[in-house]
Amino acid sequence: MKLTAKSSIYYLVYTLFIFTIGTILFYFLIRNILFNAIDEALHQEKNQVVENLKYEKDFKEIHNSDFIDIIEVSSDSKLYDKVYNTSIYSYEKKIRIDYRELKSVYRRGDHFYEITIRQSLTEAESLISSILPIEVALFMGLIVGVLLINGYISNKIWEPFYELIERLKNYDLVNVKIISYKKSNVDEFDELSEIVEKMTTRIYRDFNSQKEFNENSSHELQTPLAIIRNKLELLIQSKNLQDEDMVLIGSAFHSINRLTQLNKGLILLSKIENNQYYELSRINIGQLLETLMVSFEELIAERNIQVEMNITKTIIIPANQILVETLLFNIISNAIKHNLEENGKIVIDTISKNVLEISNTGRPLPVAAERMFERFLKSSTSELSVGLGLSIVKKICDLYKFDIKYTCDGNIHTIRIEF
Amino acid sequence: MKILLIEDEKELRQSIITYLSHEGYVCEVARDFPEGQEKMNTYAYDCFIIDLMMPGGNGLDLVKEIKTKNIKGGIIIISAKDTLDDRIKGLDLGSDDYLTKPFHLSELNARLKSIVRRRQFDGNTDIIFNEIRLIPENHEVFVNDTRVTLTGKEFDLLLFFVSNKGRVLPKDSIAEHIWGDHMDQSNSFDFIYTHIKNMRRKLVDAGCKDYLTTVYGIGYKFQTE
Repeated sequence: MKLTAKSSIYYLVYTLFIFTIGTILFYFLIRNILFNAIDEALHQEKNQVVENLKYEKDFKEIHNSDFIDIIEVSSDSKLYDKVYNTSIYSYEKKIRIDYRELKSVYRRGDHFYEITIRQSLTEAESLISSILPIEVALFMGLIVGVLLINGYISNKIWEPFYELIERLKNYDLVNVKIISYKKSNVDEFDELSEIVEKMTTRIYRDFNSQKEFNENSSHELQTPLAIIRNKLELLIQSKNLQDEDMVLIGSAFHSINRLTQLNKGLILLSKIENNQYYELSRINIGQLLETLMVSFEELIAERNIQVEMNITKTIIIPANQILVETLLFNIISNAIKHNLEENGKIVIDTISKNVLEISNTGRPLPVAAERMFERFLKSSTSELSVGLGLSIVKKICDLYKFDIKYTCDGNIHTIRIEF
Repeated sequence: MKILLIEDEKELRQSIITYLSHEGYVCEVARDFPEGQEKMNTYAYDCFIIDLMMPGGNGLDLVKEIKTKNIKGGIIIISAKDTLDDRIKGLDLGSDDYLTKPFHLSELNARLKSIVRRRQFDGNTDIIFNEIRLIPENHEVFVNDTRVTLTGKEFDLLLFFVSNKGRVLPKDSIAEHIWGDHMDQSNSFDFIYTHIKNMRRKLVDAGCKDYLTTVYGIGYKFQTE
């Protein structure tokens, strides 16, 4: 839930509460005032009537008048004055009309008279009942107002905030590098933007120095590696070596080569990170796969692997030739390397114009499929591999924002790339 | 055959010289850019092996100079930088080959031989090793004038062995030569083994002596003994 929506709800609940209480109180207050005024009027009128009665020689009862009844009552009546509400059916209007009545017993000499004075409540009622719609209208107005203001707030005032979030969402170290400070007219957002700038600057600097370190160390490693390798190459030419010496040198030689491969992989990774493969061309994936498979032909024949190529759709993507070659090479090379000893199979499928699936038979995964792209994760079966192949694949996919998925269903391993 | 090696790293220089001297090359060295420049302008060489990053200048400038001054000799660039840019630039400037460090000495030797062969005889030269005759241009092999049909990879292998005859060749360098320097090719050893086995069988079937010996723990050696 958005911040503004959340605050709106609190505002609205509070307003609703105040309005309800206010409306109720207001209703009773108005009613009270009105009744008091009416009662006052009724009493005055009664006094007037009583005054008039004093001068009246012959008393005449008044009946069934709309506003006043005066009747003589028995002399043992008590004297009283009371005001109450009542309703009387009006034959004229065919409805019951509410009245406020003052009933008073008055004594004049030996005669007792009961005076009933009434006043219609219609006007008062209409006054009171008109209060509710007004209140409701006010409340509605308030809600609309709050919503509009909040909408404005979230659009205008919070705009820099949402913009910053958007920029953070798209943050990556290759293209964006630093989220620069942007002035808004809200102090808090300015502060936030400043902090984000500082933070991303620091991240970028750290990333860079780490990257530089990786790069330098792998480059610096190359010369000593070359020296060791070449010295060993010279050493094995010696006539004085025994078989067991050769075995030792052989394994040293082999380790140096692995180290060299590893180093090359790391250099490749850092070069991809440095965006050094920026030259793009339009690459036909199907064609590239076919050429690649030719270079793998002998290896595949050697391993007795059955290959099924279903390149029915043409996939053409703009990318760097070398990187895409490396990507496909590593995937196919893995598919061959980790295939079954017997009855191995590789299926290459173009699912659509931008989806490629390469699946191969192989032993079940020793680790979760999601972890396959981690660096230096190796399956135990092939101790000779360096463990960078798939992480290079992942890096290349990340660079071009290809969606790559690795799934393993029993003996079938599938890599699916959405270009 | 005279070669000028321009390389600033002492140990690498020594290894390369030792290996190549055994092949009968006369090797001269230059330790840095100015020395290299001076030597290549003063003496004649059949081939230059040039490192790119050196104190005193970029090896690419030496390549440029060799080409603009029409100095004779093949050029192999050896570089720690494996950027496509440098490779393309180097080859564009007229270098004959480009090797990325670390490389195998046997690989450097094979490439050197192929360059010298190409330059001296326009490539139209057969390579003869006792009864074996290789024609690199057409990928043809004859044993005592009988044609032996080898696959592309088998031919490459034989050429590599003959180029490095009498040398112990580690499996890794053979694999890298055949497979290229694509990384992570752990299964290429079996593959190499099969190719070697087939090549050997075809040669022997054609009446060739079996020159290939297995060097225990390391690899192979192609020799006459």
